[in-house]
Amino acid sequence: MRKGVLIVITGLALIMATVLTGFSSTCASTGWFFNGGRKVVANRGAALTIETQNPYVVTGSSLFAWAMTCDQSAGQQNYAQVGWAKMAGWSDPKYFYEYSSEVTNKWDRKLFATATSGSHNDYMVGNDSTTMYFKLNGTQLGTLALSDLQRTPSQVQFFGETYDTSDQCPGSVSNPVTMGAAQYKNTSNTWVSAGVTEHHDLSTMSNNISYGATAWEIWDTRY
Amino acid sequence: MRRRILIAVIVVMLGVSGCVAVALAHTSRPAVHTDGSTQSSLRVSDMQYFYLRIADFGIELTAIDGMPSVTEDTAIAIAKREVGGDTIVGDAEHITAMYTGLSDYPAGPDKSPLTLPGTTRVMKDVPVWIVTFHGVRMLRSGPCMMDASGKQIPSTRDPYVFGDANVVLDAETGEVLEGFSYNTPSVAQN
Repeated sequence: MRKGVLIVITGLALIMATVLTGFSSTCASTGWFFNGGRKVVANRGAALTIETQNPYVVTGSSLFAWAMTCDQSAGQQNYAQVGWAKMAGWSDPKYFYEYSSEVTNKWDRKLFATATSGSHNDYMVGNDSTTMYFKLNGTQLGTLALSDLQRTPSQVQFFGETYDTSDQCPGSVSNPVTMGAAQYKNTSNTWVSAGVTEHHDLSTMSNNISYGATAWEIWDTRY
Repeated sequence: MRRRILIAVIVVMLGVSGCVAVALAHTSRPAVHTDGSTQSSLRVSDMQYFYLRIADFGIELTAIDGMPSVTEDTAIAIAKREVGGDTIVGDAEHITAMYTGLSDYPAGPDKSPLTLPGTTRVMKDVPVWIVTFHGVRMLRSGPCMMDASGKQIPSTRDPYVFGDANVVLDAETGEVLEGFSYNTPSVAQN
């Protein structure tokens, strides 16, 4: 009798363990996860050279690598960025720019042709007195009136970004994504080097950024 | 006594297993797609908002004659694969397709039209299909939220933006040329 009880309980425990293991493996957490450098500075733009790679993206997720100028006063997400993106279902990444203003309640994103893996491209987002511009290798991809944003940029950020913990952060151990020539446009309208501070959100995200660096590599430790 | 304990243990374990199994089944349920919502023409309110927002992207449209080599159904099928996953396709309130001439002036209408990056393709009066997924939730990129001292602060924002996702295809070859998306206020969807 006692042996029978033991067998039944062991069997049920095994079933539970199997179900729970499957459950946890399908429940990777989501959020915004970043790996790269950032600088708190009043600015009128950000520029970065980014290597394109073709990382793994989970169904329903998307990932990005970009240069960004942003204003997070009052906890708001006011930003303008340019770089490359890969969304679930795509075979290759694409160039993109995106901006958001919680002041004007405006969000736009534009996507362009395939970004070739292994290529290194110069991305720039900046503004003059009236207009914000997005550039790829010196060629304008888009513009918008500053009045559409109504913000005062206080940071520049240069990140690889994922949304799901199961996404591959751009780069691998043997082939990291290189980012270089980090710059920002100061309030005197001069482009200057942006020595950054390192930041990464997940233990699977790694980089070789030392304080004040303007060039570095990022990668996913699982690849 | 021993039998009661055994029954209690079995009941608890079955209950927990059942709850987990139900939760698991719920999270892995595929999205239901309803192609019956596909429409071939834009509604008036959609059209007005569409024209209002495409100017933000430097896009100009011109009427175009003739029949495209790529059919509307094919264009929509290509766009569904392109738009960024099944979630958007399944969420779309309706899907429309417009056959038109498209010019892209990213630096302004008085400047040169866009040459697609990595190609020699000049985006001026190009016959295209613009396939629009109306009323979808799009995953936005986001800044790493930090305060003035550089200390990270948790974001409380919705990672999704509600709006329209557009795919621009060459109407002769079916090649995807561009994509553009914008948020829409809920009133614009009515």
